[in-house]
Amino acid sequence: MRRGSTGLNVVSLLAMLFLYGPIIVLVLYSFNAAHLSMAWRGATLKWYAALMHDEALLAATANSLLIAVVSTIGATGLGGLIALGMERMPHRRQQIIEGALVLPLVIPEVMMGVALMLLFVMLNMPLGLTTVILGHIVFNIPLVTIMLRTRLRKLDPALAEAAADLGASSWQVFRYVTLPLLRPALWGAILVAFTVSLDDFLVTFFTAGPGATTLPLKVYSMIKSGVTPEINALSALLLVISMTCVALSLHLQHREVSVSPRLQRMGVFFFCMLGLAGALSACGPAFTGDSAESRPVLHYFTWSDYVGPEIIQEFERREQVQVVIDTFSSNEELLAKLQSGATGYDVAVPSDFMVAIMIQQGLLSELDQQELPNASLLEPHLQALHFDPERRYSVPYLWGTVGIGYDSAVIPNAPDSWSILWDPRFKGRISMLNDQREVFGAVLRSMGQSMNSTDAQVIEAAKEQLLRQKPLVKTYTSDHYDQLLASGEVVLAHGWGGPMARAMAERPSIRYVVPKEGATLWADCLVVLRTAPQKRLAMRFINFLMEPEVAARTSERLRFASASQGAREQVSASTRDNPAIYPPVDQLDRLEWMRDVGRAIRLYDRAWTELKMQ
Amino acid sequence: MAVNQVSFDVRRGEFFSILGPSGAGKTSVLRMLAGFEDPDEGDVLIDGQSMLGVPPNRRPVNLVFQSYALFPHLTVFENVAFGLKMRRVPTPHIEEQVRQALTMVKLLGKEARLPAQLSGGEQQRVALARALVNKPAVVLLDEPLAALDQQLRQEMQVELKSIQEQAGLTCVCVTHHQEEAMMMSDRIAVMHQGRMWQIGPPRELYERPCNLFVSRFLGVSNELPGRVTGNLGEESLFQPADGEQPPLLVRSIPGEQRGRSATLSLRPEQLRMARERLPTSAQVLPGRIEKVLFAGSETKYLVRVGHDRLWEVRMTSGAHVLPFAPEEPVFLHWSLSDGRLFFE
Repeated sequence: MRRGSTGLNVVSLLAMLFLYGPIIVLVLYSFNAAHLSMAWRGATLKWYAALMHDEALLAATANSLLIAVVSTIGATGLGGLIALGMERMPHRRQQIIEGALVLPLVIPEVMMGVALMLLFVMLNMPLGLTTVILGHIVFNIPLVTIMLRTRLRKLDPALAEAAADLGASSWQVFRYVTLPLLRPALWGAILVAFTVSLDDFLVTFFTAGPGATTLPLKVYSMIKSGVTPEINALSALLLVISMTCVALSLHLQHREVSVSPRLQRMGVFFFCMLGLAGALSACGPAFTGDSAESRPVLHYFTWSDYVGPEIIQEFERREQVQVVIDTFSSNEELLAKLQSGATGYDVAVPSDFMVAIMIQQGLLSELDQQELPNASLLEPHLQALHFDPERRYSVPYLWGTVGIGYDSAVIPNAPDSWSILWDPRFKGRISMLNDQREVFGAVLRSMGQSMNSTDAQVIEAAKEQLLRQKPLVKTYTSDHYDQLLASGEVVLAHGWGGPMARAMAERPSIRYVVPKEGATLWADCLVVLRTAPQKRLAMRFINFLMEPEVAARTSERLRFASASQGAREQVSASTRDNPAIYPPVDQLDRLEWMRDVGRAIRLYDRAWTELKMQ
Repeated sequence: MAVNQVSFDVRRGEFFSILGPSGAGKTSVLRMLAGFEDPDEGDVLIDGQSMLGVPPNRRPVNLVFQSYALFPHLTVFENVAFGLKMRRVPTPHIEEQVRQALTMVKLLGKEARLPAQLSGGEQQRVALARALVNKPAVVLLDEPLAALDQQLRQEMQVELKSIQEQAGLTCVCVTHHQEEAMMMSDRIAVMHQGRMWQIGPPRELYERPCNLFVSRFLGVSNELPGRVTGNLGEESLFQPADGEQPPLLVRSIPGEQRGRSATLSLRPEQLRMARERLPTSAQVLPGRIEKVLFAGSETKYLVRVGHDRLWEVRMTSGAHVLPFAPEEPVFLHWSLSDGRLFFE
């Protein structure tokens, strides 16, 4: 008996560890002093401090709070009315409504998100804060209703009758008896709705438009540029808030008697302050009485952390405008958002191949060359790109290569060929991008083929090569290979130059090479969307970003080469001479643009799936 | 149909009980008085005013619920003050009246407690105070003591009655507990299957029940089925169905009863038990003691009469020098005026 229960204890302990292990690791690493590596370099609070100074994050926080507070109020109000209304219905109808209420909770949230998005687009509602709030109200109503009904059903119906018998009108019965008894459940429901709204990703993702980036969306797009300790810190904070809310909610639901009035006043006060804080900062200067109440707003849709906040501020000051930044984490996400009818964004930053697709689909607005004097002073090889030779729709912004990052402490002889990635000596210490075209691109070039090959036999041969390589590969990742390199977990990484440059800063023995067989050349381009409300301002913004001095600062910060010719002269020598940032000019002829391969993309899809499945 | 053609009057200051087994329709009647249910036909008048269509909160009645229905989030004081507050009585008056009501139910000093902090009996008192503080024309009591244990119940019966008399309350009380109803009520209405069978003071109902149901429901009814076989003027002959018995004498009831089936009913305390047949009495049945149940001051005997009838006899303990023992053959005697005949 005793032994049996010990075994059970161990099992439940393991289960708890399995549940909470990831969370503990996350919280722990939010205190890690090291920037990129998973190695422990001492405790620090600096990432939490950094959060407080990250304007993009603060803006996302404000949005999240505003959305959570408003949607919670809405959902609680409506859900409460439904719950109370159901009490008076015949039993049969109650059951039907109950079933209908559960439905939104069990259908996949993705469907819910897509359905809401389609509805809003159909109703011609521009996606934005309002649509996110409406979306959150929709999925929170069933939660609130079910929680309140659970409580209502536990109430003795004689209580309401007793109150009526003592002279209370229906309103007074509600005000003095039902409501106070419902209050613990009500607060519980508010806390849960608030938490669910705060943490929601999917519905938000589909219903968010310009100016509606929330914390989870922000975290997701930040991960694209690596899992930084800042994200850990942010996630840890979100986690603490959510867990507190849920714990409080559970506690309240088990209470029989009402919440003390003092606690309640504090709750209401706190809740209102959160909403107000969110509203104030989300709507920004419009409320703060800043001289420019009608300052035009420019919506910039870009990669996470793809522009310095001080650069944005400079533009805002100079033009007396406000810039709202929203972020995406992949070209496909950008395209999906725009195709689904999201409007309101002015300027976006798609990559080269995506520009081609967006031009084809008529999503872009023609540029006004008169307004863009800086955009003509480009690096020579970027002046006439194949997808937009006359630069009618796009201005190259940042560019670079895909190559191999390696640790020269482990591999002293600089590799010059992709074949190093097939070297069994480095088994388990190689990382590859988690990107089918880039991975196949590397193999195809190593085979002497174009990375845009559409030949089924060639692609099949490339797949065989990759299958042969797979046992050596530690992981396929596009996100945190810089950390893996910096921490020494891998010694060879396939990836973009910028993250390699970041890894170098952390671990000086890291080097970067573009193999002699050739590799990808890429450029992210500034475009103005066809639906942009502020087209003229958008032109001025692009022109501003392409100012040599501004472009140079951007380049230094992001560790990507700027397309502006003037920037090359202004960046520091260490940046200019770093091959991971500025590809040496003599390498340009071995680089190749990724192109649309048309129907052959299916061959790649299948080969990639087979590779991943094996 | 829960209630069928029920009609009764309650006098001012009276304690009126509706007594019946569960499912008799008592609570429905009470809920109609309170306004939670509407009669399909007929009317409810309070002080001559029709209550048809008047919602519960506008009726001059207050209900003490079986579950007490105390507001769990309000203190004793707030519970009692609830009705006054709803009627917007000025605060100083509320305080005074609540204090009076709490004094009456002996709960002074517990104003600040929450219902969950009170014993069952105290909760009962709060429920009572909460109703009578409003000085309603009628206080409605729904099984007021059902949730209390035996001892507390008996104490509260006395107390409830004295509060009612002291405050001059008019009470309508629903109960299934016949002893409770008899002890507290001025008049009782016996209800069964949606009808009121008999209305009257407790003693009248007990001694002169109008039918077997009332007789059985109010106390124990020892019964013997049979047939009236002859009329001797003041008395009639009653032939028990068992057949082996000689006819018994019963008091005649006006009208020709000869040949009709009837049931003879006797209360336990009306029977006298002896070891031999008393020669002076023609009202006698032989039997055999089946069980002796000693209950303190009283002893209950279950006596088998005829083939299959168990009669209950009650006698003061110690009244016989030689106590009766099980299996002992006995004779049961009663006086002519005690036996009651109920015709089918």
